[in-house]
This record gives sequence, C-alpha cells and structure tokens, in this order.
Amino acid sequence: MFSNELLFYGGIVVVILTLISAVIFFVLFYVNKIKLNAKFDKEYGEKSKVGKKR
Amino acid sequence: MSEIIAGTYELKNKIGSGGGGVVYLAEHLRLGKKVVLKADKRKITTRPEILRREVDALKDLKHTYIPQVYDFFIEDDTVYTVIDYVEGESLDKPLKRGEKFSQPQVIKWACELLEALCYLHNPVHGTPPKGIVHSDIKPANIMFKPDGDICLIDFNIALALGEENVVGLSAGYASPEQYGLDFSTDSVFTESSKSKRKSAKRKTTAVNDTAETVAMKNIDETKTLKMPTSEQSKNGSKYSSSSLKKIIVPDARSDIYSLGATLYHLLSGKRPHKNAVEVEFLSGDDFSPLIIKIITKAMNPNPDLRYQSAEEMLYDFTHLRENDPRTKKRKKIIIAASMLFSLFLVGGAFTSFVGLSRMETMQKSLAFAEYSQNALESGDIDLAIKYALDALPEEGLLNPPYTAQSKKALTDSLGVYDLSDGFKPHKIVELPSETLKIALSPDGKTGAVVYSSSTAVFSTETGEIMVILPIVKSALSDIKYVNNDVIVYAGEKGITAYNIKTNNEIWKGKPATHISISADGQTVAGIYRDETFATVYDINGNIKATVSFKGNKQHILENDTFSDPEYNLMTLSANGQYLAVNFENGGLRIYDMEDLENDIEIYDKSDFNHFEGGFCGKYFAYTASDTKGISEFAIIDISELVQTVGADLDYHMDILINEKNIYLCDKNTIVSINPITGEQKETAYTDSDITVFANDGVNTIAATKKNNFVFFDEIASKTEEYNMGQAACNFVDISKDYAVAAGNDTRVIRILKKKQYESANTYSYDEEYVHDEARINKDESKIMLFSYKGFRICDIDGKVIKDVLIPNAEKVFDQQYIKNSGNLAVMYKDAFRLYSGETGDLLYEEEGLKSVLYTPYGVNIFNGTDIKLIDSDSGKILESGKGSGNFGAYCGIFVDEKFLDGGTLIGAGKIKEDYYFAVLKDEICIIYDGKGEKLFEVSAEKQSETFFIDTKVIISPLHGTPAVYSLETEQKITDLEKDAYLTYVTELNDYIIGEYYLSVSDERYGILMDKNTFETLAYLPDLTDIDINKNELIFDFHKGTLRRSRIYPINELINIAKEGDMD
Repeated sequence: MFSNELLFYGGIVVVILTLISAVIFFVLFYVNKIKLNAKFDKEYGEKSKVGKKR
Repeated sequence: MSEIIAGTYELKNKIGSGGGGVVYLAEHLRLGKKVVLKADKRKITTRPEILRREVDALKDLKHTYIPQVYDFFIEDDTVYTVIDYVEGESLDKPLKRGEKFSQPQVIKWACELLEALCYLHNPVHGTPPKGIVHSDIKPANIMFKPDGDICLIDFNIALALGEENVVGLSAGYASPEQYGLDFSTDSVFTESSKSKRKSAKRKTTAVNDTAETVAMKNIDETKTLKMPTSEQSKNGSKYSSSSLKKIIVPDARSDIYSLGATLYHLLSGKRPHKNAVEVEFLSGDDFSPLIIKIITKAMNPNPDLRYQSAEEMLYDFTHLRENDPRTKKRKKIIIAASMLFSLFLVGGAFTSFVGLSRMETMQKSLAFAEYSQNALESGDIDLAIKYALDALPEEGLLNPPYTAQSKKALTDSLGVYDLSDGFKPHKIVELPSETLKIALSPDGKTGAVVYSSSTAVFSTETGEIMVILPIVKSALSDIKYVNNDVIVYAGEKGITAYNIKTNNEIWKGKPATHISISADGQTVAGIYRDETFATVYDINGNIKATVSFKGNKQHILENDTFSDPEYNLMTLSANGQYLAVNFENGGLRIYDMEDLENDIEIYDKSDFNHFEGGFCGKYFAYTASDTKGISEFAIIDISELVQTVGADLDYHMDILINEKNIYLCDKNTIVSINPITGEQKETAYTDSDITVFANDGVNTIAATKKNNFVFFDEIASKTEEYNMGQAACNFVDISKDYAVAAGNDTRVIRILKKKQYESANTYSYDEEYVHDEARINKDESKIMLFSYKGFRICDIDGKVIKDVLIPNAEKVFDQQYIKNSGNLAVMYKDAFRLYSGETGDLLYEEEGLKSVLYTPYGVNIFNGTDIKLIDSDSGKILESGKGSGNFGAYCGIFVDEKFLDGGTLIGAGKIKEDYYFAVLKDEICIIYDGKGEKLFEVSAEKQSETFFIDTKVIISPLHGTPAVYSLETEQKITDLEKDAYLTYVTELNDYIIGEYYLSVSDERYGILMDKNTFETLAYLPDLTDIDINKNELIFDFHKGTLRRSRIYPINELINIAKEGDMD
C-alpha cells in the first residue's frame, strides 16, 4: 500500500510539520493569552489587585 | 454640641441615623482619637454578663475591612458602641448622585467585603465560639476610603447578640427570608416541591419603617409563612393565607444575598427590587456573564441555591479568569491541540519508525536473498534455504510484504519448479583444508576425500563426516573403495583396509601412497612414494607378491607435497593378475603376478612423464605425454600383446577406464572407444575444454576450464550444468545417484543427488518425435506436439491420432496454438492456415495474402483489398472490411497502410471489450485505442512486438529487453528479462507468466512474475504450457512425458522449507 520510504520520510515530515505547527500554534496562543489577559484586566481588574488575602 | 459621654468621649457631630439609632462622630478625650459612637436606644434584654462577654467578642474583631469596636457601654438607657472612625464616604452617597462604578472596581470591593464576611462568619468569635452575621449589608454600610479600599460598617450589635427584636430590613438588599419568605428547597411553598415541608425555624420581627428599611407591614401578608393545611399542601400553593408573622434569624446566606444586592446596585446604579423573585437580571451587554452569574447566584431567592458561604463566593470572585468561559474555552482548545499535536507527533514518529524498521527489514531481506542465491550457486542447499527463510520474516506491521527477490530465492533453493530428472545440488561437506583426492563408493552413498594429513569418509545423503583417518602426509596419498563398506587408504602407519560400516580397521600393511584395487576387489597393490617395488595384497591383507621394479621408481618430486598423483600410473587388472606401472625414466611396464619375471615392456624408457591408463577386460589402454605435450595413446590386447588402437597426438588427452569402457577426453569432447574397432561414440560435449571427468557407466560428469561441471546422460545429452564460481573444479566423481565435485583450492565438496520426478508425469508421447513445443487442449483430451515442420496430435496416453506435415515449412514465420479449441494457426508471410486440434484437418486456408497478423482475438489477413478477421477457434470470418496497400488488420477499426503512414503494426490486443494496437514508426512505438485514437508513445527498437495484457502493454524487441507500460498511466512500470525472446504472456490470477525462447541454446523457459510489479518470482525451466483452469504449469523435457506442477503460494513454500520436506 504505502512504500517503506514513504512511511519513513512521511513520518518525519509529519513530525516536522507537527512541531512547526505546534510552535506556531503556541506562539499564537500565547499572543492570544496576552490579549485575553488585557481584556481580563479591563473587565476584572488587574490580577494582583484582586483577592488579596488578609 | 460638645456632649461628653461616659466621661471619655466628646460628641462632635451627628453623622447619621437609622432604625438602630444615631451615629455620632466623637473624640476620645484622652487619646484625641476620632471614633464613632453609635447610640442605640432600643431596650437590651440580654443579661449584663452575657452582654459583656459578647461585646468582648466584638472588640476582638480585627480585620482590614472591618472597623475596630473599641468599647460598649450603657448610659442613660442608651447603648453606646464605640467604633473606629473610618474616613471616607458610604457608597450610598455616590449612588444617590447617580454614579456607577466600574466592574473591576466592584469586583475589588466584592473581594474585600467577602474577605470581611469570611472573617465574620468564621465560628471562632466569642465564647462559645460562633460566627457573626452582619445582617444589614448595603451601600450605606460600606465606607469608601480614600485609599480606594472599603470598610464594612454598622454591625447590628443586637443581632450579633441574638436579640429577637432588632432586625432592620433594607429594601432591595434584605434577603427574602428576612421578610419571612421561605424559598428554600425543602419548603412546601416552592413551585416544584411536592415533598412535605420541614418544620420552619424562621422567625420574623417587626421593623421600623425608615427610608432604608421596610416594615413588615409593607410586605404582602400573603407571603408570610404558615403551617399549611393538608389541602393547601396538595395544591402546592406557595404562600399561606395566614397573616401570622414569623421570626427569621438571618444566617450567612442572608449576608450573601445582601452583598449580592449591594454589588448589583453598585454595578447597575439601580437598587434591586425588594422582592427577590422580581429582581431584573443584569444586562449581559454591560457586564461580564460571569459577574452576572455570581451576583444572580448570590441573589437567588432560595438560600439553598445561593452560595452557602462567603468563601464560596470569594472563591468565584478570585477565580474569575479561571472560570471565565473564554479561559475554559482556551483550556479546551489547548488540551485538544496538545492532544492533537501529541497524536500527530506520536503518529508521525511511529510511522517513521515503522517505515525505518520496514526499510531495514527489506534491506536485510534483500541481503539474505542474495546470500541465498550465493549459497545455492555454491551448492549449499541447506544454507540457501536457511537464508531464503531469513529473507522472509513473518509479515506484520514492522515487516514489509515479502519481496520478489526473497520469494524467488526460496523458490530457487527449494527447486520446486525444476521437474527435470537429473543431478541436483544436494549437500556440501566442509573440510579443514583443501581437497587432494576424492572418490565415491560403488553405490554412491558414501565418499572419501583426502586432504592435508587426513582422509575423511562422509555420507553423501546427509553430508556429514562419518570418520576421519590419519594418512601419510603426501600429495600422493591415495584412497580407494574395495566395495561399499570397505576402503583402502594410505594410512599413516601403513596401507590400511577400513570398514566404514563397522568403523574398524580390517588389516594394515606396509607403507604405501599410491594404491590400486582390482575390479573384482580381491587384490590390492601399493607403492610407497618412490620406492622401487610394489607390494600386492589379497583382500585379507596377506602379501601375495612383492613386485620389484629393478631399481626403477615412479616420478616423484623431492617434496612430494607438490607431486601430482595423476602423473603416475599404477593399476591392477580386473582380476588382479596384471599390474601396470610407469617410471621416472619414461618406462611403462605391465607385471604379471603369475610370472613376475615376465613383465610386458610398453616403454623401456621415454621422454614421457605423464601417464594415465588402466585395464578394460583384456585390454590395457593408456595415454603418455611429455612436457611439450607430445602424446601417445594406445589400446593393447594383453593376451595377444597386440596394439589394437593407437594415435600420436600433440596434446595430452585424459583417459578414464573401467571394466566396461574406455573413455578418452579430446579437449571439449569425451568419447568412448571400442577397444577392438577403435570406433568412437560421443559421450559428452562441452563448450570449453574438459579438465577432468568421471563416468559410472551411465552418466558422465565433466569439469571444464570455465569452472563449470556438466552432466550428460547415457545418450550424451547434457542434462545439467553448474558453476563453481571463482574456484576451479579439479575433482569429480559419479556413482549411481550421487556425484561430487571439488576444487583443489576450496575446502568444500559439492554433493549432487539424482532426482526424478516421475510422480509429476501427466502425459506421455513418443520421445522420438521431434518438436519444439507441446500443448494440451482445454479438456485435456489431446496433446499437440508441433514445430514449423509439422505437428502431431496424440491422445492423453500418447497414442498418435494424426501426423501432419506443414507445407512450405521454410516459409512459416509464426505458429500459435489456440488454447480454447486446440487449433494450430500457422502464419506465413503471404498465407495463413488454420488446423483443427481435434482432427488435424485444415479449417481455413488462404494464400496470396499481403499480410498476416496473429492477435489473441483472431488472425488478421489482408489480400490487398479485403481485410478479414478469422476466428482462431472456428475458422469463421468475424470481421471484414476494405483496406489498401500491403497491410490490413482489424483492431477495433480497420487499419491499413494508409493509417499506418509508413509505420508497422507490431501487435494488437483486446482487453475485455476494448481494442488496443501498437504501431512502430521510426523507433517510436505509438499505442492506439480501438477507435484509432493515439494514447501515448514510447521509444522502441526495430523489430519489436507487443503483448496487451490486463491494463498493460509489453513492448518486446527481438534483441533486447522487454519493457512494460501501463495503459492507464502511460508510464513505464519495469523492464523484464534481458537477452531472451519473449514469445508469449499469460495472465494467471495474481501472476503473469512470460514464456521465453533462447535461440543460442534452443532453450525454452518461463518466468513467473508478480502481476502488479512484474518482478520475477520464479524461473520455470522447460515450461511448455499453462493450464489456466487448474492454475497449473506444464513442462516438457523432451523425454517423452509432460509434467505438471501447480503454482505454490509463498506461505506453502515457507512451510515446506521449514519442515524440510522437499520430496
């Protein structure tokens, strides 16, 4: 069905593409997190000021 | 106003008033500290000691968001509470001004308030320890300090004390239960509840009617709690009709409600409806859904559904980000993404691992397949099979499908498709050092070999060494078989007779290197190196005679390690009477055991130094050669002392003599010579000079200078040929069903065994009838043997039905056997004849044709104007049309010279209902469909022909390599077998079988190929026909029988190899 070389190199390509995609995804995710935190700061106040224990 | 209270506090000004009393700003006279004095005129019913204790509890309250209670005293029937002064303004003031607060701000305050409530509600205050409920949380009771924090003020001290008539209700902020409304889960008054109401422990008290509070009388009296009648319980009505007021002691959840209502007000700027069930939801457009949710939950009319503690509510406020739907969504996304990436990573890595593993396995498989082929070529069948099995690891995820090379290696090593009778590689024997001499027993079942300083006896059936015997360290050391069980060899301590069956020495004599045994097995003669006498023994080892050479000795090198024993002649006659010996001086004498003094002198002296010969009955034959190659050959009648045959030659000829025949080897030919007449009969003929040979009276084995050894049968037909590779073949012997071959520079002896496959016989015919091909008809009732010259039809028993001579055989250019009908189509350049396979009669005949073309779907003939397609089965005309020029054929359309435009139609086929044909022009082969549409073109050699099969076309040049192309993709798939003429291609299930003809050797064979890849799976020597119905192959060895074999699936071959059952 699939040649051995296709499996081997295909697998490597999948791993590489996955790693690249993961890096891109997590970078975008991190940027999104920063933006969301800014929104949260705006909605809920800055994190350090909320929930101080006494 | 300067009123002094308790002699300690100076009232400064009034700062507020409410249902609970008046609130003053005061100053501690001694400390100068500002405090708040709250004067409460209500009657306190609590006993003083309890009062003191509870006040102390309040004084112990210490929290950032709760003002310190410093003191509590009664003066003039007024209860004074001294509380820390909190700067700032209460939150009700900005609300009244119409201000709203930002959500973050409100959240911050909510957390601070909840921290305060957590502290208050914690049951650690006072003795006994208990929690404290504020009970009047509202904006007015929350101070907004200059630092931005808040402070929860105005504790209802009386409530803290458990007073029953103290509670003030702040409309909109008070919880429903403070109004005596019970929405709890187990209440009979909930709409969904049908269970029995638990006893209510709620109490309500009257309240003062102030701006901040709402008196009980303003509450709909129908909403007060009362024990329902049984009838009312059945109806499930929410409220009783009684006007009985109840008493409620607010708990932590009431504070929760009040806080929620306060937050509601702070966010929306609107005080919530005093009726909890009528409170409007906060708008999702203005506030975060999570905040709305928290406040809504806090303000649930059912206290059981609110936050049950301040901690719970505080937790939600401090975990807004975590609980925010967007965060949860992100979490889900990150989890899903992580899982997906992990899946792909693991999947990709695993796939790569599988691919690598399969690649490695395939490499190993190919290597083992090659090892197997090498082992097969070296004659080691067992090793070849072992390697072939190693090349076929069990198929699985990590192991790729079997390679064609591996399958072929196993097929070749098992030899399942080689059904020809003859000597096949059987075993090998590995020696510690190179072979010096070898001999087989008369029955061929054992062999003896001399090497370095030992001789070994081995089994030809198993290849195992049975015994090792020490011998004289000399290249001259000899070994001979007396009979199947007894050998005589040049023992280390003397000539020795040894019984290999019983494994013991029979007798020992004087030292000897050169040994001869009479054909009757009764006499043994031995000469030791260059001694001047020979000792003759009887079969029991008794010395019969000592033959003196009178000072003469045989030609031996000083270091006889390098002596060639074949250069000296010492041989006994069949009955042991005569002993022929040659000498160093070129002499050759025959000694008579009965009269030793009367020896026969062949040569007294001569220049000859290489003598070979022996006795054949009463004749003595020999060859003698000198260093220049000058030779003499002679046959002498010993009884008459007459030379009957002789010749002078300028090259050496080997001679082999046994009791039946005299064989002479003249370069590449072996002949047997009649000792009387000198008549020669060819025994063997090879394509290169023969170096050594052996004959057992039936078969001959001859080694050549090309490092081959070749077998011939009794009629001098070559049966098998094997190659020794790099090693020369210096020693051969053959006896009955076994043969051996070895080289003096190898340590391996090849054992070959005669195999016969009579069980595979299917049909027989007269072996004398000369034919090129043999075919069996579809119903297996007749056999046709044919060549261009004619054909013979036989029944299955070989009985001749008809012999037909084909006219003008020299003009025939092609013949095709029609499997379906058994007919024979004979194509000439200008004629066509179709013969019946049943009767041999002519079914169709036409001459004077311009072109004749055979295709699998019929024979195309063209007479210059008419194109006809003749049915090969019936001889009827299937299609007819017009054409012009010198060529015409039907290929779905009528193709003539005009269409070809200078090209040549080299083949046509029909796959299912579709026609295809190929035209060769200027070394370009163009493939057309049945409508005459060009499909594609490829380069091709002149004189090519095509085969259309399945979805492929094979372009086969007359001299070159056939190539396979896909009709669908138009791409080349592979090349086929080189240097052989492809004559026919058959599709059979998962296989393609190509039939080849090698004109150089007049050899026909087939190749079994994988249907998809066209990789070679097996060679099919002497393949003549394919039984498509039974999926069987038919072989013709031109020995009078046809043999049949099925096609073995690879798994069956593996089982055969593992079980070791190849017979």
